[in-house]
Amino acid sequence: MSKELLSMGIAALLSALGKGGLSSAELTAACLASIKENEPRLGAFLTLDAERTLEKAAEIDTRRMRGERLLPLAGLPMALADNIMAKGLPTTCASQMLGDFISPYDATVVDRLADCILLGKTNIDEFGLRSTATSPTQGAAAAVAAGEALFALGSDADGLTRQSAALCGAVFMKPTYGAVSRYGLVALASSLEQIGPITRNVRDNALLLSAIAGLDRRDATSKAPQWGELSPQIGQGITGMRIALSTDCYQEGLAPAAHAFKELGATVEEIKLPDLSCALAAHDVILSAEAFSGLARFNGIRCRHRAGAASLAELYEKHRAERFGDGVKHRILLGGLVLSQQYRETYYERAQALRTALTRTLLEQLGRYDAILMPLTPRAACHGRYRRELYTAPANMAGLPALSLALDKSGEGAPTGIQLIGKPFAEPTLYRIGAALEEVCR
Amino acid sequence: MKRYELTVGLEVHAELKTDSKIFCSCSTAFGGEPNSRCCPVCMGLPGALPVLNRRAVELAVLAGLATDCRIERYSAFDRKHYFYPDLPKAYQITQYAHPICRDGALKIEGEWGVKQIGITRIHLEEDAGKLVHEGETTGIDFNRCGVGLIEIVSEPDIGSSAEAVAYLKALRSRLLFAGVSDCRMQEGSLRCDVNLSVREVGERGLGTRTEIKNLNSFRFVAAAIEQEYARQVEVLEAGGVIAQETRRFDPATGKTYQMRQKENAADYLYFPEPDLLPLLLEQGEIEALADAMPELPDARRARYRREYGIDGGDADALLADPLLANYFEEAAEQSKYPKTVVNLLLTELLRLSDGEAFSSPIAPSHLGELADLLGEERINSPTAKRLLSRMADEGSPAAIAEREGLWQINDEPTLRAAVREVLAADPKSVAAYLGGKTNAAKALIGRVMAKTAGRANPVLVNRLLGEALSQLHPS
Repeated sequence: MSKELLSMGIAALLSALGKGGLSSAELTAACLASIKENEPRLGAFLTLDAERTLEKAAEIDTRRMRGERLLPLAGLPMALADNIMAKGLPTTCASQMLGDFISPYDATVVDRLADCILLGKTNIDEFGLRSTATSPTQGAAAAVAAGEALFALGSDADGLTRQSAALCGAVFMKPTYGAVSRYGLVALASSLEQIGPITRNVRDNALLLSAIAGLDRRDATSKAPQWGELSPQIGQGITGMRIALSTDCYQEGLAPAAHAFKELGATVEEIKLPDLSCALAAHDVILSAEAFSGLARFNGIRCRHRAGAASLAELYEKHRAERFGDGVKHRILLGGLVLSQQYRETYYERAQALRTALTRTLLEQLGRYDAILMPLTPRAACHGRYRRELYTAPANMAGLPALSLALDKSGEGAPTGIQLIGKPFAEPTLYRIGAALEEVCR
Repeated sequence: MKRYELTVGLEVHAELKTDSKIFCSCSTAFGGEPNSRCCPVCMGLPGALPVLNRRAVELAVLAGLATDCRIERYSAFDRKHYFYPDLPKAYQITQYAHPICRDGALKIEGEWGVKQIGITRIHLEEDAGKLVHEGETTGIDFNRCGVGLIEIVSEPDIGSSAEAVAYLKALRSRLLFAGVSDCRMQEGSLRCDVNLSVREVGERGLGTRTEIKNLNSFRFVAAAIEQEYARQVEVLEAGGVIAQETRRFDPATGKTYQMRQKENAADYLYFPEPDLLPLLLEQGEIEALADAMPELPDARRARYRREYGIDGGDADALLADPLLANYFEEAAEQSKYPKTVVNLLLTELLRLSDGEAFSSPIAPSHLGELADLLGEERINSPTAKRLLSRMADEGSPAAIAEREGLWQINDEPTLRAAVREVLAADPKSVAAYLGGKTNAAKALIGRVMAKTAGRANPVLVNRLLGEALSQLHPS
């Protein structure tokens, strides 16, 4: 998309579309051009359907001209992570297991954005599970940052998406657990994950979250958000607000952000966070257990192209051995272990107890502050496979909203990322603080 | 003299009588084209989520109330994992740690006297699909997948096959009358697994138990229990040990066989279902359900005895089916002859009702009316039968009788005259009767009935004929 159009932001684009100065077809064409230019380098999309998207754009333009009532964010081109269902399109979860699977239905979030122009499905780590210690794959973030799409939706069970977004210079909000329906999200860790908006700036993020959040009858864990409106506080500045910061985290590159907050008139105080290594271990256990369970349904029975086998047992073993990657297999085995009769108490039950304690402590601390400023990724060399989630796992464990932002986008190398954690349904507050920081870092 | 005593516990699964499945809005209707009543949720497609059917919860509470259970105000769902083609998610959503009902009991009466069989727990869960074997291939029909079930687990209090059948009958009756399930074993809406062990009389602990599955009638349950008891005793007498295993009952041979899959000590990797919230019931909700519960069989039986003088086999027959019992009550409510209503119902209407559940095209009030007409001797039995065949289409029996002059003739002079005429017209039969062939009287009665267009009072005719015949033979 041309730099000009990109810099407009969602609100301005919607206004231009409404006034007739801009058409959805133009916008979509601009995205498609950007995709053509950038995809060879980025490889962000797994599925693209140029023809269908242009048809859809034309249809929306016609309906808009007729004065028909359109859904929120109508006519804007978007990307969707490939673990979220969009009827008629493949949903592969970047896995051979679902290599030829076509979504038979739309996820709730896709329903709510039914008048957007869905450009295609973007790349993720297999089922959203990181298989190596390298950077997480999140095609959606790359697509948004490069101007291939105006915004995207992705899921976050452990912080990979928060980290991906910031690495690309994009904004991601992992919402309060239950704020956004999980119906249509291929489940990896049911009690940890949420779908959230990936955008180029904070304002856009709030607009998108507004459109997708809300109680859904089809998701028993979804809740009616108690935040009133998401955007109004943006731009009001943060004078007098209280932001907490863990003493241990200063070395993790938070000093510039802390400094910026103070300059803007907020109070920044040091607190002692709960033992995050402990929380991470608990997260590891719970994620594994839930992944084991959620992925059990992929076993070759209801499958067009099964692994050849002589018996039922062999079918199960071969199909899963051949179609799952190593990282996924590792998780499944770990999950089975922590739920086994022998180890359940030692691992799973203890992990849940730790989770309860962590949640209680964080809520208590958040009672005294508007937000907690945290790093996204530990800078120190990672020991063990999953240390990268050290700072992001707690928000998933406690079901708290977490906004990730990139600072210092102009410099060489990857941008520094930070995270703002809030109380349940404190998204408006996080957006307010994030917007203020964004302004300063421009 | 038996050296070994039997201990049996029963696990009964009953399909809940809800319109839609327990976690989605697909219909629970029986039959239909395979895989025509499914959706992403009950098919376990990726991304689909369960949502609890409130009616299923209500029925589970009713089942608990009907069996004197304690209703747990807090209960929760768990995932039970195993791989089998009829289980699409490779886990079943059930209630393992926190069932909705606990600590109930069922009273059974029989040759053993009166006994209480404890009910350990009742919990909610979803059904699996159905495997259909067609030659070399097996098809999977997911229509049944996701239908709501309750599992009722009894204490190991049952001591004989007869007790087991009595328990099942009592349980079935309660569930039927509470409106919880259709309880049709042949259709699979009621299923029973047997847990059985033996021990020497006098021994304190329980023996190793085996589980018997695939029992779809009360008769097979009884046969399986007796078979397995005999088998276990034989093993023990020979000095062997009982293996804890699951066995299958084969109705053809009447024997139990070890199942091919090893079901011993399976680790189901239970953990709380993260997609569903815990189930919280208000005391008020439970009370409202208790108030709305249909009257259960025991209470009805007592009332039938008290109000209608109906008991024993007749009461049993009525209480076999709530539709039948309700029909009876409606008919009897407006009739002065409830016993006649029962008679008509059980001999005539039941015969005409096809299918497992009772139904009749005749309005209960009309049946009550017919009973009154019979009781008041305004019509005779043959007339009643004829009216029954017309009441479905033509309505009130009194109206039909009035319209067509079907009233019973009770007037003695009229009947005496008819008798005289018949005797005069048939000297042969009279002679035969007087000659000792008492059967001949039947033919004569028949003639009187014919003469009176079937309206004569048969009892009176019998008496009057007898009097007339004895007058002919003064001795």
